[in-house]
Amino acid sequence: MNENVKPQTEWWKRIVVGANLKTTLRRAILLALFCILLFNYVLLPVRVRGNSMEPTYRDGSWHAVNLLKLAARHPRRGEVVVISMVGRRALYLKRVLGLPGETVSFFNGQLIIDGREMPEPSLTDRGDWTLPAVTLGGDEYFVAGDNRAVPLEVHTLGTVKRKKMIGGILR
Amino acid sequence: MTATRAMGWRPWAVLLTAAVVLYAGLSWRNRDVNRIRRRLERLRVSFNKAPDESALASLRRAQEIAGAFTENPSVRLGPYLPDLFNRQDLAVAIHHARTTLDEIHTSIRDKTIVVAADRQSATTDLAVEGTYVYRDDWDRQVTEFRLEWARQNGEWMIQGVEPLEVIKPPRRVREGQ
Repeated sequence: MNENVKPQTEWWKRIVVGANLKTTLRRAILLALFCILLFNYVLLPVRVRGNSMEPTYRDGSWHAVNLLKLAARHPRRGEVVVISMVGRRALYLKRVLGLPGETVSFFNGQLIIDGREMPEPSLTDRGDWTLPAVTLGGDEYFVAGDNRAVPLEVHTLGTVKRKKMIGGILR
Repeated sequence: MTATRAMGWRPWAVLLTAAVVLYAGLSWRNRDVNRIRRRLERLRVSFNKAPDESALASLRRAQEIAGAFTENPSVRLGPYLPDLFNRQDLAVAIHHARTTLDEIHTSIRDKTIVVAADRQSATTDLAVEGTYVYRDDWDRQVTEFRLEWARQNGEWMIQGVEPLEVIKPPRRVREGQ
């Protein structure tokens, strides 16, 4: 009668390696592969450093970059995009203001696209930036941060090539 | 039994030897990259400044940093800073910056190092994060630079620095008007 009873795996072994070591290893390898693919090609966790995108994205806050967001379409005006620097460990987070072929300028904080005033609903304070007109090339976008209280001289803004935009913020 | 045991160990010994040879080969192949990497790390540490740094220590650090450059480098740091073409001018500029700022903390966020086939020159693209404290106020910036290296008497020296502008600033910002 005792021969029919299945031998019980010790409880600590069940916790550490599961009931079957081979199955656990297989699952662990699959999970690792899934995570490598997910966090290299789909979602990139990032932490905001600096105040150029405040109040939308605060210094020190964590977000996820959707690396597929711009894979099949071009960036849209008003969208926050992620721009790669040297590698993937340092990225810019900026809002798209001007699209290819457009002429972008600022007058006393007012964004002007092709001679027309453009509203920026995402801003709480539009600041007082004044910039002469910049005409964008065929694959160029004009980007800037949301924190317009920062003096123009120390704010990173300007034109960026489409190929440097690697994705968008998930949330 | 001894023979069986020896046979059992042989594949592991071969694998271990192959791993050691591979590691040694890769290290040998990347020796210039590793040297540049170490030099960059020393430079980064030298750039940092504690709040209690004396003027003499600041001068010594400035000379140390300038010593990593060739005699007549081309240093362009951005639209608001003057271009420098002389090691001594560079040391003076670094010393001035160090005495003006209360604290400096730097970290290299990302880098790529490419050594030319003749191993006499190299290019490094860097994303450097700098945090500066000035009169109880602070600022943090990530800036990208391209460093051009030249080998002089077996040592890797910096002969050129220029900002990499992924986001190209508009004319007025560039000119600082």
